[in-house]
Amino acid sequence: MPEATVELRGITKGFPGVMANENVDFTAYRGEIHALLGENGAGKSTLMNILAGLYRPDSGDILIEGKKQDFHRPADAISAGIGMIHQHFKLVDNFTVAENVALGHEKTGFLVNKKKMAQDIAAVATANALELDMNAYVWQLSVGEQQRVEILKMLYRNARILVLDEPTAVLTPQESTRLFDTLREMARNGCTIIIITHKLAEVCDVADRVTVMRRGKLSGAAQGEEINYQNLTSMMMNENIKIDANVPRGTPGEDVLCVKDLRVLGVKGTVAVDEISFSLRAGEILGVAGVAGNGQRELTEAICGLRPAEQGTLTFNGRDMTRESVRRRIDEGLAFVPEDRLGTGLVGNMNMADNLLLRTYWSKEAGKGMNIDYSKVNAKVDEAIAEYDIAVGNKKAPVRLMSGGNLQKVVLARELSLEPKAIVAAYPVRGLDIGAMEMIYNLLVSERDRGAGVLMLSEDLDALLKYSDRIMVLYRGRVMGIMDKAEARIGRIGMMMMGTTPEEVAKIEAVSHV
Amino acid sequence: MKKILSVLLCVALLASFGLTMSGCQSDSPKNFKVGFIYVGPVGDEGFTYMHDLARQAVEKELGITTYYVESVPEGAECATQIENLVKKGCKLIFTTSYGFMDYTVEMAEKYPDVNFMHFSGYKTAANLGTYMGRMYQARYLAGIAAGKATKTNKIGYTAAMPIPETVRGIDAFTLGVRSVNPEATVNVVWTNTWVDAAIEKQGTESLLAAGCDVVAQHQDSAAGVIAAEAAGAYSTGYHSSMIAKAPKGYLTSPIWNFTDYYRTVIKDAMEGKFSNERVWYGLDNGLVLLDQFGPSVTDETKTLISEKEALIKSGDWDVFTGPIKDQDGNVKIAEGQKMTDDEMENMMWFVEGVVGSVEAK
Amino acid sequence: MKRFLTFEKRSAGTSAGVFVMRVLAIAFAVLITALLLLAVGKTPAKTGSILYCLFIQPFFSDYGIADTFKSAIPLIILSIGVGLAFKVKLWNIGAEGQMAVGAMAAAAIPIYFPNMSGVPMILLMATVSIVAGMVWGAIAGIPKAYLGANETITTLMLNYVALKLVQALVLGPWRDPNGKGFPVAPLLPKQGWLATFGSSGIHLGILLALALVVIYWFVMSRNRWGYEIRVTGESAKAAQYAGINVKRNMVLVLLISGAICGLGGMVELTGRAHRLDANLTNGMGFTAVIIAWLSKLNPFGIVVMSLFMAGLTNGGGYAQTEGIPGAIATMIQGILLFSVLGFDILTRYKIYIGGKVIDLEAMGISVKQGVSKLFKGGKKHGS
Repeated sequence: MPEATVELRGITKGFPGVMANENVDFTAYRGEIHALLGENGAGKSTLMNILAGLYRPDSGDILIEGKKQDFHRPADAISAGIGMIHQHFKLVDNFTVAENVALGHEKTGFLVNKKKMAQDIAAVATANALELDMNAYVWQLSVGEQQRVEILKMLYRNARILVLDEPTAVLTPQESTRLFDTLREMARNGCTIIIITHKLAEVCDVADRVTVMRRGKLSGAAQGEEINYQNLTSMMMNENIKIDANVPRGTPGEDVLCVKDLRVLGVKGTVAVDEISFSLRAGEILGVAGVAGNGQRELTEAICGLRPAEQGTLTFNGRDMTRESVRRRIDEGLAFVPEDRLGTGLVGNMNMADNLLLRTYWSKEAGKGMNIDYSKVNAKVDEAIAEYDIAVGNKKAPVRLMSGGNLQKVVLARELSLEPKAIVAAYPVRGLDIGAMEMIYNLLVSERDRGAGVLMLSEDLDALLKYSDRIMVLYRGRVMGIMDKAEARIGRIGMMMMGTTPEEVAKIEAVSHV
Repeated sequence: MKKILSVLLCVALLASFGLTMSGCQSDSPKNFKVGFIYVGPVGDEGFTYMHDLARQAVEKELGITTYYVESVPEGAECATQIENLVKKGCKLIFTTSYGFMDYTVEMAEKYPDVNFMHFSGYKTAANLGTYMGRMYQARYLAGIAAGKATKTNKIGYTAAMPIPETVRGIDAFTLGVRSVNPEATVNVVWTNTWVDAAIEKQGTESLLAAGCDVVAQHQDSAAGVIAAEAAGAYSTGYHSSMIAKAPKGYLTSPIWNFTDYYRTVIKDAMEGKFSNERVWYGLDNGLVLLDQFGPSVTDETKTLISEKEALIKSGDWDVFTGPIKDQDGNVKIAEGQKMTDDEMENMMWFVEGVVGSVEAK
Repeated sequence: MKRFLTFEKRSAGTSAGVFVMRVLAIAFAVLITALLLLAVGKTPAKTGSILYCLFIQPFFSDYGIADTFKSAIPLIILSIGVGLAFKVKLWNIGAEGQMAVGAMAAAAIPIYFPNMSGVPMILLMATVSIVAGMVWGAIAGIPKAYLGANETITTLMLNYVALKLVQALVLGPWRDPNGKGFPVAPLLPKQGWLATFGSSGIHLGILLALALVVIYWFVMSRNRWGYEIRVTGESAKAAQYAGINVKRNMVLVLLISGAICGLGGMVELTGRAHRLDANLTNGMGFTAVIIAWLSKLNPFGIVVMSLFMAGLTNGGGYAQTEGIPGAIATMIQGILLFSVLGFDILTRYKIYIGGKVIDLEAMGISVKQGVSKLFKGGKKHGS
């Protein structure tokens, strides 16, 4: 039996109005990758923040390597050997990798033997299969590399227990694979690795042991063979959600949105969307696949009027909309579920009523004359809460206090209330738990059945295959191909996402069949 | 914790009421209260400091009670502070800067049984008088010292704002210079600020760089004197003695002494003899005078100065007695003619020998 | 290794209990001030009277409160102006200059049209002050919106331009011909003075200030444009997504902000100063920045904080007559501001002292609830 390195016993932690953790037990062992699984808001992050010394539990004990601990601040946890890597990295852009790792370390005195320190850091990196250029500046690194710097930082501080909060949320599939290789190596070296996640696939791939939480409580644990989809799903979720494997196809009608020779510039002035042409029909879901950063953001923003088109035309309902304002496009029936929910799609510090107004505050429904009639809006809030089953503690509270799934429901409640003719949905289920995902996909399907055209971007190829009527693949700002659901295969899409043309794909397929 | 705070506050309140109740019985001089509103801090070693020295001296001498409020901005807020002094029981209030004028007038109207004295203004009422010093007389004497000291015949002068008070001072100083050294010129730099040590220093340094070997000033700080000393040049100050700032190059300064004046006015007010006159006192009354001399001032110069001082004090002659020419050489004051006070109060032209313009640059 | 004092960041702060926090902060500052005064050798009685001068007299004595109101009028107007800009995260620290040009424009009217009668003269003065403030706001606003010029720098620099302009005018063409050459403009003719309420000296500007407060509140909570402003202030991306013309609103906000500050200059000129000179603004534009900040841009908070700051300034003068130097009075004001800011930060943490939890915000919320219960209870009894 391996040594238990982390033991949390009977942890309870409440916030005003919420019981985030209720009598939670958790044990992790040396040399394992331990997944802490649960829906958003299940209390995973709170539990790990307690372990990392950011919060103090209201009651319960923390034992690290068998010794009872009382953490008052993060530094206490670090000196006990716990390193937490948050979703948002805390690195200094203008420092090198080595400097970032050394920064704030207690070995760093007034006088520093830079050379020796750089050697030490490099040694730690090599021992743990963390491939990094010690002299590169952080701003030069990719997200995956930056994450490696964070891990190295913790290891250099002698962390023996690593906690990673949603480590793959910001990574490409390739980077994710690489991360897990590294983590596996570190576990072999005797580290305890804890990953907070809600992605089942990841868990099934890499975890040695799983602890599942639901609504602040422990809802199950699994190891080895027990780690499989069915088992984990039932521990994680409300039982009443059905996963139907087959979604009936839509009945496409006329073209509702036509994009022709569209060229859009990205933030840095480079061409992000390069002469794209396609059309979206009423009553269909057109799925868009592609590795992140291949022009998806610019394409959706250009369609919805947030980014100017350099060249080409956008026709909506038969009318040229290329130069029209955002407001005009909304009035014409173009809904947009943007990529970043808080910040673009919603205003975090405003309450639900104000957020429901965001794209209709000028309309007659919002009030007469120059002013807004909040009694009308508040009625809409109640309607939305009932219709979309939005969990909200206090209707007057800022929406940033809501969970991701509920936030997305607010966005959809607002966008769908316009009965749009077309919906551009950019990564609508990103970061959501399975329950919320299902609901949102079903909403989009029923919108399609109502007759709306849906342009849906997703990172999840399974979901794209399941819900789309057609799938378009983007690569470097260009359309690599558009295929019908019937001929779409994961392998095909995957090759096209890497830049293989449909012709080449056909050749490869022909060869492999022979 | 909140309880403790509230108890403390209550105690403090009670104590303050106790204090206001006590100490207002007999008719001793202690009950005669006099207030002062100062524009600067009492620690400025200049204008406000001279007022405060006088206040302290008179308070001690007469046994009266005085209050002062320092660093009061020239603006509507000063009315608040004047009113507070009235509520404190002051029967006589001195407001010591021009910018307090309208508000002093307003308060004099509102509180007719309180007497007010406003420095440098021109508005009076039954209970409001004004006082001012003929500083130009002392400046003339300082000009003699400067005229004798210069070797380059270029004298610098940093001045705050182009208003008659400063223009008159520059003119008097220049007349003093030219009375002993007709070749010398006085070069004026406007700083557009009454007190800003950095700008005053800059102004002085620019004059020194232009070849001036003596600098004078109409400013509120000693920055110019210090800058001159550092450059090995001669200097004259203003308001108070600045000899300690420049032990080598200091010549002298036109300075204030308010003690005699305040004593007289306060005594009169105590006896119910307040007069709302417009006082413009010169060397003869001792309100303005010349500071002690620095080590480089010769006995010959000192004699020249004391002769002129006696002449002015006698009243037979004043600084602005003709013939006086302006910068363009036109005779502005004919031989034997004397400028009236009103002409002096509105004087906005430079005499011959001044290099510069009455317009601020 | 148990620590006596530990701070823990709270999850999410809300605005509840801000008022209670402020009261606690003031109480704390009073305590520190008292200790300081005792420490420098003041007797308890003297300390009491100094505290009375600082904290009671400006707010609870008859002439003290009148003076506090008088001083607060321009502060309220300027803070509303600044607050509007802050609402869209435009850091307009040019209220001083906008006030100065407003006062300057207003002062021009009686100089060039001395024979106008009262009401038209005052209306014209108000109009030109608004236009002047607007122009000053536009000089910063247009480059900000279309070239990205940093408005903090431009508005700050424009302050000096405005103040020098006023100085040049009162030294030059507008110098009072009867003023013995002092650098001030002529006194306004009496018909150009705002009427006052009895002998209090509080002038009609108070009504204008309070009207602005109510308008600001209404626009921000009910009006469509106010909604645009709130969204823009929270997130420019969201504003764009909402179809809001962000650039136009930036310019518009700086124009209106400048206009309000300009009007503040006119109110101070016609209500209290009655003549233009370079000291008219007297740092009020900068005080307004502090007020807008401390009141968290809440219009009613602005009224309270303006009265507070005005009283504090006046109280500093009053306290001098009890024998403390002006510098100490300023220092005490500093202690107060620091205390308020400090308590503000503390609300964002839970504090553990020797194992006991002190959650200031929770305390604030419970006190607030208690008070509102008390009110509701009272209402029931009344009806």
